[in-house]
Amino acid sequence: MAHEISTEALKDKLLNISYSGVYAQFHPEQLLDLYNEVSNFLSINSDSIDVTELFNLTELRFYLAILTHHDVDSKACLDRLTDQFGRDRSQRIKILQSIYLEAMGDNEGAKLLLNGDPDELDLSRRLVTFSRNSSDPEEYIACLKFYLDVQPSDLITWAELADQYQQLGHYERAIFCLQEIIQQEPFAYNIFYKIGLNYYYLYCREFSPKLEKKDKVLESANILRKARDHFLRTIEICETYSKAWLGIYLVTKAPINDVLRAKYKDNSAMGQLLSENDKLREVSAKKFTDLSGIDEATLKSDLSVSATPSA
Amino acid sequence: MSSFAFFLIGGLLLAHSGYSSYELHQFAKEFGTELKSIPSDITLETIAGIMIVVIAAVGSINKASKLSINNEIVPPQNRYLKEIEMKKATKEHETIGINDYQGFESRISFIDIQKKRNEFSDWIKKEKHD
Repeated sequence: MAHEISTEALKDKLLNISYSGVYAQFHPEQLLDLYNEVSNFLSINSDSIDVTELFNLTELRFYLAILTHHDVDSKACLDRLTDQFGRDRSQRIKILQSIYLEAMGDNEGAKLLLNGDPDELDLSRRLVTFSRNSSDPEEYIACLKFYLDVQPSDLITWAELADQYQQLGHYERAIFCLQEIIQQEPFAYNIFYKIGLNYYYLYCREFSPKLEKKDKVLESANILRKARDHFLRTIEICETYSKAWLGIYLVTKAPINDVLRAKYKDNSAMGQLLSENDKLREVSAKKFTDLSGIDEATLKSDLSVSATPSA
Repeated sequence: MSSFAFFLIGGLLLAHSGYSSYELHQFAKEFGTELKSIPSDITLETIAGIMIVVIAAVGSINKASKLSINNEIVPPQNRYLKEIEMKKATKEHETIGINDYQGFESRISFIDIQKKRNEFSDWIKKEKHD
């Protein structure tokens, strides 16, 4: 198969990976493979590709070398980039330098590099990450909020803040942050999925089958409806997003459906919710099994073990 | 290959109609007659030539396949244009594995370098151990 892959397609793939930063979520094995791929590609093709592409790929190689402990090579990439673009003029280069120092364990040096000019917002944003420590997550959140006060339109930071809130279980706050992103990027379907997921987690926390109070049950049902509607919005924008189909399936299988059916069927809003969920159950199960290759029996048996979709 | 044949035929027709027109004008100049219009066969030949070249050009469009992040070859969804409906146009992103909004999930500017490096060294140790 390898001989069929054209250089152009490989280059496009690597550039795409570089722009999207998707390697931040890669497994170590994938990282190592990708590092080898980029190094080979650059050693063969560095003369024949466009200069912009060359430096974008060199930056990618730098990150991958750092992440895979190829420290000598990462230094070589960094030197190549600083020779080309100068040491002080570009924020992007300064960030690379600080990341190199951070990886070598020189956190103070890295902070000093980022601390220079408060107008250089990208550097301030990177500086925020130094407040991250496992013992006090609130401090990191406070720093993120401080940065967002200065730069409220920075969507990536909103996403980071949402992630932090989600980890701490502040689902409502996470949803608020994600909605800030939706305001500027109304078609960001992965964000709609995340909002749905946060509503689902919120429902899981609020509802238990022992709940007696009518208000509480109806409130949980409303949260669940919001989760379902956000998953559906994801599907509306991208119909092959399998995680959202699984989310819908979980919503329709949630234990609250039985409680509603037994006690609150006469409530018109709840009646509608139940009938919609009934319609969606089979469709979502079928779509999810088609897309993911997991067969329906496994899906149903797995659900009885754990009832939360993956993040 | 077939589009090459079309290009050739279309090109020959165009060249021939041009030459015919040239000959006609030479003839008219020589004998001092005034041409009212170009004969319809030359016009028709020109139109036919242009149409065949256009058909060849459209036929020779060949979108390249893409690579997914797992190195699978993803053939183009449609031969000519992208899908109009958003829910179908975004299908390609999911097969490739990178969508337009990936940055919100990867957040490379917030990457925890030390943690990722430790993860990697743990993995490498485990691999060597096995």
